[in-house]
Parts: sequence; structure tokens; C-alpha cells
Amino acid sequence: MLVQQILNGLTNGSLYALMAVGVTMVYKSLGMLNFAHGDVMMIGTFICLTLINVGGLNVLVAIPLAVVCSAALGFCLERLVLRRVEFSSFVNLLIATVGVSYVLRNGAMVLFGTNPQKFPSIFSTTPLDIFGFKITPQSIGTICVSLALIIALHFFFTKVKIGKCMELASSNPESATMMGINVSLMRFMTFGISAGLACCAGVLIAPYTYARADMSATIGLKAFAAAILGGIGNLWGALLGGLILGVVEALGATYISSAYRDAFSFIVLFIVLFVKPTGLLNRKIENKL
Amino acid sequence: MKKLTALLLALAMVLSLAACGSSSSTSDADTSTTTTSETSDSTTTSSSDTFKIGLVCPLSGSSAVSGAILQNAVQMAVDEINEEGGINGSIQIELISADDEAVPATSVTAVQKLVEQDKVNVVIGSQPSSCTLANMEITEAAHIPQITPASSNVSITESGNDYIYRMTSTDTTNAKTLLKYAQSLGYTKIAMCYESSDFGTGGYNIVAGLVEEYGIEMVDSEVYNSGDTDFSVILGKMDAAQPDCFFMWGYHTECAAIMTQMQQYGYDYQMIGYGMNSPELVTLGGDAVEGICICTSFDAADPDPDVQEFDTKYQELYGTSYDQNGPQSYDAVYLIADAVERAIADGADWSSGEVLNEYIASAEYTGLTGTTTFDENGEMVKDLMIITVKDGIHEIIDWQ
Amino acid sequence: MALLEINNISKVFGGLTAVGDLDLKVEETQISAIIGPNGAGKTTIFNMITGAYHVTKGTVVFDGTVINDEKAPNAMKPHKIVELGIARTFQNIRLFKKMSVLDNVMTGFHSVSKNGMFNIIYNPAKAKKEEEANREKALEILRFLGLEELKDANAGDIPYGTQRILEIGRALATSPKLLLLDEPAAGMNKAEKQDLIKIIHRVREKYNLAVLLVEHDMELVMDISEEITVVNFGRRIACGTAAEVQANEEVIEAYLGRSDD
Repeated sequence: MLVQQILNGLTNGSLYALMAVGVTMVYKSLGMLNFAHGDVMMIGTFICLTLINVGGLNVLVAIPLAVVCSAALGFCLERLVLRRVEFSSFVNLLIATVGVSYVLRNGAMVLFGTNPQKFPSIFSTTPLDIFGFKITPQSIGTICVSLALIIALHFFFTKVKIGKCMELASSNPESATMMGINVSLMRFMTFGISAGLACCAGVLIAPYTYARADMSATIGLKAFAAAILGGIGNLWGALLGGLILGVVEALGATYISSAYRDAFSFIVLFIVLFVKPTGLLNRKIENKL
Repeated sequence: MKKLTALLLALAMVLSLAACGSSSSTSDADTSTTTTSETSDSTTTSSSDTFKIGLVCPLSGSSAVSGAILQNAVQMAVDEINEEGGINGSIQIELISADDEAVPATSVTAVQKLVEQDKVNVVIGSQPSSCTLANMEITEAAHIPQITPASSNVSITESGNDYIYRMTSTDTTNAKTLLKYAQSLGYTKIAMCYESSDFGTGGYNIVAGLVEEYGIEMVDSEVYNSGDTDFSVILGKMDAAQPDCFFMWGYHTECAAIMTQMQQYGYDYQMIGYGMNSPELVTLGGDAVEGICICTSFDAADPDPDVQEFDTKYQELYGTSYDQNGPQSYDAVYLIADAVERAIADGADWSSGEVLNEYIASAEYTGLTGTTTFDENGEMVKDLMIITVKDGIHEIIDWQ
Repeated sequence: MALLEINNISKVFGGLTAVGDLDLKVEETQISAIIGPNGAGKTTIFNMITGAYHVTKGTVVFDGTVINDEKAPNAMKPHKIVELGIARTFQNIRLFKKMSVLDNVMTGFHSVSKNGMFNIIYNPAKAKKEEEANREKALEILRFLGLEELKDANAGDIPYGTQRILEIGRALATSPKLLLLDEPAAGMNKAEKQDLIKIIHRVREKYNLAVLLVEHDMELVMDISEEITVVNFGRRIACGTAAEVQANEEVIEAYLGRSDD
């Protein structure tokens, strides 16, 4: 049971990690928490579902298309909404994203209806028997894809030129400008990539949770919790935070109470922040204000 | 200029919120005139020549599918009656719907609006037990009869409320039917999962209290929350208790997920339950829900001609399928119409809530769902059936 | 035509005129300075040159291109101005503290090698080659500044004075024609300041660029500058050689009279 639940926790955790990475990227680059992140994930999922159901596309074709559309949505949001509020206060920026979240969610209810809808999985759901433990290819696939995406992102930010520029632009915008980097453009791209990542997370999550307009409810918050737990602004922190959250949740539900499953993530978060306020992997206090 | 824009934006927000929050009325007109009713030849005149039915149910949120069924069925019945001229051939029915989003607090507000603002003669609703339990106090205080065609928690009719009626099977009848069925299959140990809401908890309590009578032991029970998506933990625990079968008391979304995960983890148990008989179960669950046994008071698989006619017409009008709450709501409207007609025949004033209440209490109406009468608590007794899903289609099991 | 021409610029913030009707010219390879009391508007002038602020009045022309114009809705984008050839260091050090000394200098090559900026498709061979070339160029700059030994040290860990030199090195990586130094000697001791003077001269010679600095250390300014502009309350009160400026009555009254530092 223990091992089964740890495996389970890792699956969920890798999804939280993927979402947390998107959150943390935006925080690092724009200094704000994007409360619409979960809803962007939801919209991306529905775009994919529409492409499959209405457009008749194969899942493997629909997903990359949906990711691109999501990124485009992210770009639009940055230009149309965030730009306007950019130089106003931190709180305004936050409220703006809450507003976007509201619009996206209700828009989805109108466009796609309020019932949960089945979402196809790209991996098989027939369980495999490994050392007596049941694990589906879907689980394994989810973990692998999430990890792969995060590692690819790390590679992007450290080795690929534009990624490096984005990284510099987030950590030190004035100096980056002085190095000839268009910081504004870098921010724009960060947001778009973050949105694309959210869509990836969504298409991995939806086979488990069904596509629904309120998908973002719990996972949205957990993404923030994971990002903060691992150290906000830190890519590996997001990964670590997500995995820890997933496992703690699974174990808490198993050994303490399954009804309070969702609470465990937040309990862990509070404890960690109490002991180490900057999060697990961050070294000093990041003062973005 | 900035201030003006801000002002306009604020105004737009307020208006859109108001539009969202308001109920979807079929007609706004308040036709309370003082003309005497043509059908009444007694001195007691009705204050209007329309009969207002208020419907409260979830029209948005995760229970929207279930709520829509009430809305559709009630609308169908209302339209049919109005086409024939109305109740007693002359009284048109006005249907006013209110969305309670399956949230008890919202349900209370919705019924308050129906009763105080729209001044309805009767309320039908709600669908979730938690909402009905909350909002039935409003109709009781206003002396307006209320029929719930869908809520199954027993406290609804056991709280001394004289104005509430139920036209769906109770948790007790459901539980008894399920346990009897399990017993007939030779099961002696069950593990049960249920939703943490009033609906699920109510069901669990009753089943837990009745198991012994059927020679069954409940070896494990697990609770989950509506909206949960990961059931591996509870399924693992239920499996570890080594039951003969699984019991479930909850709704179709979670049921589909639970059975899908049972398949993924290789938990091969018979699932028996109540609450998940919805058109969406097969859509969401696919082949994972094959073989599930659900107890219900109505299923379109019933060969009765009236049932078939309802089924065909509902499909034609709305294009979706429905669960037992559909015909129950449909019958509720006709039962009410019948009560009004009997009142008129007696020369009584049906516009008075107390009077109408008496006539509903004494109803004996035969419709799609059989013959409906109410006991002194407003409870209805009915014989139930067990259906199963075979090749994605519902099939009635002949087991008695 | 001068390399940098500032024509009658003003900057007004709400009711406050930070800079008013200022003219300034910097010729190619010239070393100039702007001096004035605190709050005189010196950094504001720099900000108008780099495009951080849009001029309220006047124009700034660099190498024949108008980079800041009251008639335009905004100043030219700062990163574009960098590409044109203006580099700047800051009053408070803005190095990439978590990166090594060498990496800091290498970041300066991002804009210069413009091709491949949007090369999302990662070409490892090409990237490696470019990386090697940049590394060489960066090492050369470090060698020139005498920082080669520290190349792998964390930029945040090296001594303060050395950090300032490193900032100059990073700026050099962007191949500027004009180097703006904002209080480069702040916090330095006497020996470090001497080094700085030598470095500025050598940099000018080797890289053939003009230098415009804002400084409070009068000795340094007088030693190094070929032309000095004195500002007070946002306005130019004098402009000329060190000797001319020192003799100027208004300047003495406003500034030089008080002992500084």
C-alpha cells in the first residue's frame, strides 16, 4: 500500500510540478503570481478536446496544436491585460489575473458547457503488474513527460540563446537591457511559454479528472503551494515542491484521512514556510517589490 | 476620461453580475389581475388566472446535468398542459425557474425569490438533498407546498414540515432494495464508499444501520468529496478489507472516475449503488462502468407505453437522456394540476397555499412512475427496480 | 557632427523640472564629465541618453540617429540604443551577482551576435562555436582589465572596486562607441581610483570610444576630463576645460566652494 501510494503521489506530484514551473517562471520574470494559470490550463485542455471531438484530429496531433494555441492565448493576455496594468501596483496586477481567471472560467462554461467531459489519454490505461504493484502506462508516461518537459526547460534556459536571454531578463532587467536584451519581449515570451506549459499539464491531467470548467479549482492552488514550497522563482524548486506535495498528499490520505486529502498540501506548505520562509531551495529572501 | 471609463466598467460589471444571478424566467409578466376566473362559479374568486409553478434546481455547476433534467421534464409537462388549454382547461401555468447551483445557501435565496417576489403557488425542487433541506423552511413558513422529485435524504420528510412532499424513493427504500439484491447474490461482506454530502452520508448511515438485517457485514467504509479525482487511497483500503462487493452512494461523475480507477488498479469487484443513474455515467465512464448495478424507480428501458412515449418525446425535444428524476418531475407537475382540478371541483380556493396543500396531501395520481400517494409525512412509497449497464446500455434486471 | 548631441533637452516630472534647456556635446573618443551638486539632474541626463526617460523637450542625437525626441511618443527602446553603441554602468552595481566574472562579461555579447537570437532550433555545433568565440573575446577584455585571474570567481564575491571595473568590462563587451559611467569611483580608495584613471585612458585608446562620466571626486574629474559640463538645478552653468571650469565664479559658488566627500 505504501509503495503504491508513493507511486500515485509521484504521478500527481509530477503534474503539480509542471504547473508549478509555469507559475514560478512568471513570478521570476514578471514578479507576480498569475492567478489565471489554472484557468489557462483548463482552456488549453478544452481547446485540445474541441480539436479532437469537433475537428476530428488525432490526439497526438491535437495536443501540439492546443499547446501552440495556449501559448498564443498567453501572449494575448500579456499584451492586452498585463501590459495595461504593468506599471501600476503589485495588487492591481494580482487582481487583473483574478479577473482574467473569472472571465476564462465563465467563458468556458458558456462555450463548453458545465458537465465534465471525458478526455482521451495518450497512454494506455491497462495496468501493468510490476513486482506486485499495479501501475498504468499512463502513470509512468505522465511522470516521464512532466520530468522531460522540466528538464527541457532547464536546458532551454541555460543553453539556448533566447532562453538565456529570458533568464537574464528575469533576474536583472536593468542590466539585461544594458546588454541589449529586449526585456519587454522576453517577458512576453515567458508568459507565452508558461501558458503552453499549462496546456501540457492540462492534457496530462484531464484523463484523470475529466475536462471541466472548474478544473483549475484545486490544482491551481496546489501549483502555487508547490512553487512556494520549493522556493518561488526556482525551477528545480517547483519540481521538488510538486513531487513533495504529491507524495505527502497521498500518504496523508492513506494514513490519516482521505477526506482531508486536499488539506495536507497546505499544511506542509505552512510548516515549511514557518521553518524556511524562502522555500526549500531558495537561498535568500527575494524582494521583488 | 479615465474616471468615466472606470465608472462605465463598474456599471457593466454590476449589470453582468445581476444578469448572471437572476433566475431564468420564462416570462416576466406578473399577471395578477382581479378578473374573476371563468371556471369558478362560487363566490371565492381566484386572484389571477394563471397558476405559477416555481422550480428550483441546479442549472449550472457540476450538478447542472441533473438539474437540467428537472427543468426539461417540468417544462415539457407544463407545455403539454398549457397546450390543452391549461389546468382544468383554462388556467395557464407559468413556470418560473431559479438556479441554485447545487449550493444550499443559493438555494435558499432562490426559493425566497420565488416565494416572495414571484409569488408562486407551489415549488418543485430541489435536486440535491442538501439544498432541499435548506430551502424547504422557506416554503413551510410561507405555507406554500413544495414537492421534491429528486432529493432522497430521509430528514426531509421527518422534520415535521407539513408542506414538503417527496416524489422520489427515499434512501431507506433504496438501501433496502440494494441490500436485498446483494443478499440475493450471496454477498455477505461489503465495502462502501460514499460522498461526504448530506446525500452520501445519509445513504451511508441508513445502509450501515440495515446491513445486519440482511446478514451482511460492512467491512470498510470510505468517504470522498464531490469533485475529488483521485480515489486510489479509498479503493486501496476497500480492497484491503476483502469484501465480496463494493457499495457506492454518490453521483455519476465520481462514480465514473472511481470505476475507471478500479479498472486501472485491477480491483475487480461488483459495484452496487445509488445516485449515479445518469445519462452521463456511460459517457464519462465508458467500459469501466459495465456491469454496475444501480437501484432506481424509473428507467427508460421499461416497456410501458406511457414511459416509451415520454422517452421519445423527451429525446425529440431535448436530445439528451435523463434519469428517474425526469419522469418524477413530470408526474409532479401533473399531480399538482390534478390537485388544483380537484380543488376547483370542490369549489375550494386553490390560490391559498394551505388549501392547495390539503389537496396535494390527499393526491392519488397515476402517471409515468406508477401510482403516487403520500403518507402523513409527505413520503411516497414505491417499488424499485435494479438496472445494470450492459454494452453501454441500461438494462432492467429481473431478480425478484 | 559630434558623436553625441544633446540639444536643449528638458525633463519635467509633474511640477518639478529636473533638467532644463540643457545642451551637451561629446565628440568621438573624447573623455567628458558632468559634475554638479547632488540632485542637480545628472543621472536624469544619463537616463535620457539611454532611453529610460523620454525627453519633455529637445532631442538627443547619437551618431546621426535621433534616439530621444520630444515629438516622438516615446524614446527609442533602451535595448535598441545599446545596439546603436551606447553602454552604461550604474551608480549601484548591477552585476549578475550569481554568475562568474567571465560569464558576466559574456552576457554582453548577446546583442552583438544578433543572428541566432530567435534560433529556437538549437544547433549545438553552431552554439558551441559561438560560445567559444565569445569566451575568447571575454577573456581578452578581462586580460586587458587585469581581471583574468578572477575569471571563475563569483561576481558577487570579488572586492567592491573590482566589481566596478568588471561592470566596465561587461559594458565593453557590447562594443560601444560611447561609454557612460555613472559615478564609477564611488566607494573606491585612492589606489583603486588611480587604477580607474589608467583604465579609462587605456580603454579609450584600445577601443576607440568616447567616455562620458558623472563623478563627485573632483581630483579624478579634473585629471581625466577633456571637457567638463557643470549642472546645477538641472541647468548648465558652465562648460569647458578643467582650468576654465575651476575658474568660473558661478561654479565656485555653487559647488567647488564646499569641501566634498
